[in-house]
Amino acid sequence: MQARGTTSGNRLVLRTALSELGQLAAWVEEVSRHAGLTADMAFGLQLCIEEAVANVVMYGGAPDDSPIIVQIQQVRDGVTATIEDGAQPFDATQVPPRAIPESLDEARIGGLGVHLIRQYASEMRYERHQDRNRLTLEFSRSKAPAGWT
Amino acid sequence: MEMDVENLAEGVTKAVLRGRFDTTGAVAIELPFNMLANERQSLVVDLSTVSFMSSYGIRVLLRGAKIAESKGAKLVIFCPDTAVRKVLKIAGTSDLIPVYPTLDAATAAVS
Repeated sequence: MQARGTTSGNRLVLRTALSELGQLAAWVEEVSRHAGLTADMAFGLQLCIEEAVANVVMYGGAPDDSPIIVQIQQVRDGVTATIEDGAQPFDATQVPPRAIPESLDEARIGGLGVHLIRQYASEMRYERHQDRNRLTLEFSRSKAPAGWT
Repeated sequence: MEMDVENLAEGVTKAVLRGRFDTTGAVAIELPFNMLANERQSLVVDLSTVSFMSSYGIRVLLRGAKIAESKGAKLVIFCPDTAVRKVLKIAGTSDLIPVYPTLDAATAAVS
């Protein structure tokens, strides 16, 4: 296991702590710049990774020293991000679509993160592997999601 | 993330938020923002210098709007046409909290 906050090219290892999110944001921005992503893609990548990691930190129940590993790979049509964590099993792809509230009174506080990932990533996949969650998010120019347009 | 508060007119307050309204930023201003929504009458939330918005930021805005509504006050957002405005639209937030493209329009809506 790498030490906390270590980067290796397109790989970042974080502790399961809110204080790590600032470092994550700066790293994703740098990777986006190197990859030459458009502003819409870079914003979508930044938003989806923030939502996924914040969800693990706030609701996953893993200890602080449990590593979260974020990787971003450049692929022919865009980038692919994977987020691996040792939190409780959580398959974001199975979260039901969000009901649209008709009034402030009906609006639930929270629960928006997965909805935003669905709108800003081209594709989302989940696997549980060796007691760890692995969320894969694809950002493809040829499958631009609603959030980019 | 930073928040500056300015009284615009009798009963109308502007809260200027600056920086990234991500999880870290939202956690930092959640409490003072809720207190502001509680204490003041009408509130114009200026997001023109907010560069990023996540679901936790939206959560803070929704809670503030609920607080305002519960006491018969209004909370509106001033946000130019940016990526942040798009997130508010995609999240359905702009159907629940009025979002205006100019500060004048937002202020007029609560005055």
